Amino acid sequence: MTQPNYQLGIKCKLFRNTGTFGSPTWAAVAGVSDFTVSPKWDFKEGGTRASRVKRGAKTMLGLEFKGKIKVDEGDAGYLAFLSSLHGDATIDVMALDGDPNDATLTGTQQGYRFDAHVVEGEQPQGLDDVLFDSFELKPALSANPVTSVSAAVSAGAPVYTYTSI
Amino acid sequence: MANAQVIQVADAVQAAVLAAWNASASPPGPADGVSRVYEVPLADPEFLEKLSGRQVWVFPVEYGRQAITRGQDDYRPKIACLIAERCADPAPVPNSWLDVRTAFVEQVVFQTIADPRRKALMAGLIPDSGATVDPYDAELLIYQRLFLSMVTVQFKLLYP
Repeated sequence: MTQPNYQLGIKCKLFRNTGTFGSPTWAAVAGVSDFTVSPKWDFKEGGTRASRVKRGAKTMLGLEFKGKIKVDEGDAGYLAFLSSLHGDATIDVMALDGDPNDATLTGTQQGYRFDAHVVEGEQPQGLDDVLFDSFELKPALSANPVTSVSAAVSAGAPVYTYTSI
Repeated sequence: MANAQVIQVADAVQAAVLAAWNASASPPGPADGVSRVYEVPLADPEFLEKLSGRQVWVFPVEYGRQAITRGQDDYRPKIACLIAERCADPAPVPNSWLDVRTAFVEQVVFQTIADPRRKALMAGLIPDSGATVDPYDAELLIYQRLFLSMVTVQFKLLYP
């Protein structure tokens, strides 16, 4: 099946790397509920007399992942998030706008990869709640580059291309 | 083929109510029972005439689907229990007789299946808020001498 001309949030994937940076082994974080990828460039004006139009340049990219993960002590992904929240350990994460392991799919998916700190873990505990942690992942000061990711998917065998930003 | 999730939940409710009744100070007698059913002919006078003992009928009411994570759904099954018993005494149904039945509904049925603090009736099953109890049906009580109460519980069922 070729890729449809739309994408569904429920099929998107957040992965964490359980291998090395050079030879990643991507494990899907299963308990993710709401999730948002937020890339936003700072933009500084640099107008000149050459034009009356306000022009400028992109300077720094603010990139973060925000979402919710179900509290589940049996989920290795949740425990990795918790460990990073409690300490300074980073997680090599990759968010894609689809499921690269979907064996029925041929197409391309896009996303980002970076070594992340978990910087938030708010947990509402209402009387009627199934517990979720809100999380926020931000790029860490790491030797590894922050990259955009393009995944060429063919029958569940993705080929990833990482491009430094 | 395994039973539908909502039927598995109804079976779990049936088993839990029976266990709670057996453990109560007034366990079920030979004519009493708890059963999972699809329909009960309450409008049939002959059926009502033959009704004996206290009966708890457990019905599947509805279910739906709500994604709770990218890999897990909440099936949201709703279960209803009808608790029925005919009063054999002539003349007005005594308050004391009704008090025992309404206490049974609350303490054996409602508290057993609608309390999220208790051990889950089956894996992933959590009573949601909004459980309701109709304590009795006045018309059936007056004209049929039938105590009929209904407990309806909305569950969360996290699946798989």
